[in-house]
Amino acid sequence: MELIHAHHEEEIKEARAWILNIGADMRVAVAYHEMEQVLLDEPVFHIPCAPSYCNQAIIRYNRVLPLMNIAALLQPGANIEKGNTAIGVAVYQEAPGKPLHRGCMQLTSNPKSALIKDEYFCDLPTDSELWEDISLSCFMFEKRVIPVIDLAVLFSSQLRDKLNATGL
Amino acid sequence: MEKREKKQVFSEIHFYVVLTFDGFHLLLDEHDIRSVEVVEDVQTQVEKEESSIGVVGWLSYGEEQYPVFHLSTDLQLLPEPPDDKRFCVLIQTEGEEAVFGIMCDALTQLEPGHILYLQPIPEPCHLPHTPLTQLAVYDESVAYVTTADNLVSYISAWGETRMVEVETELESA
Repeated sequence: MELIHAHHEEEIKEARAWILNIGADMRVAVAYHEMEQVLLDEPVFHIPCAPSYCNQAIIRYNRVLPLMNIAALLQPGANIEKGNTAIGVAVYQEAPGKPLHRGCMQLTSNPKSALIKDEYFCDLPTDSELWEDISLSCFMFEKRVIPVIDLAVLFSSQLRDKLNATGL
Repeated sequence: MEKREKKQVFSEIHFYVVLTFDGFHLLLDEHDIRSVEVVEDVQTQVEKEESSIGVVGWLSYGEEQYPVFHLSTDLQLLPEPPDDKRFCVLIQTEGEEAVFGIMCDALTQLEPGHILYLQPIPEPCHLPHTPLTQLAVYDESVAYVTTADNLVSYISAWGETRMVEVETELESA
């Protein structure tokens, strides 16, 4: 599990993560250091000719950052509200030593910090094949199955091309 | 700086104009702009076949007539001419192979030193069929960079898709 840093094999491994409410009664998680900011009432701009799950953006320090609706990506065709209660600004790298990138996620409430233990590990949800593509791992927390998102994949051109090829 | 490098730098400098419609800022190189006319000069009587591919009017310029289109802020081709636009901007591709008009509220020529923060379209937002080449930050909002060539390809593709749809509708009727 990417989140877990083992101090000693016999010790219980744990790490802090952010649990994100992405709408449609879904929760995902990102590593604690990957969540940079949470924005409220931020101006959002439409990107024409973009995928329906990522056709909005915000401006941060004169950079246009994509705003991803993960729930809409996982449930295409479902009536997922685009109300931006909160926007999570995430920072990620494709690999250690690579440049930092930023991407945003639509949230329906403020993120919740949680201490995740290795023993919480569980299988991915089965309601979408895309969980395999965008998840690093998965854990059970407060009776919910919560995938850990691979941000580099989520915001990648490879995922975009795969989804475009399937008509998403 | 070497003379060759200087030439290279200057050839890459773009002078942009901003077409604004319904709060949407479309940026084009000034060399793509042929003329700016008032919208009253657009003749809005069009044939059904022309309307079906997005033509909302015709503009006479010199001895020629050019098709005019009405874009939405989602870059959809709207079927009716707007009743609240002021200008019709004639856009030309390189070599004047194609000339067409876009209606807008305002046209602004940017000063050479105007900072636009030009940047690539974010990867998850960038689909192959987009006519946009880059994004920019203009007037505290996102602005959208395109070229005359890209717009022609986009409008042509849209028209072809619409023609197929219309033919399919007629066959099934």
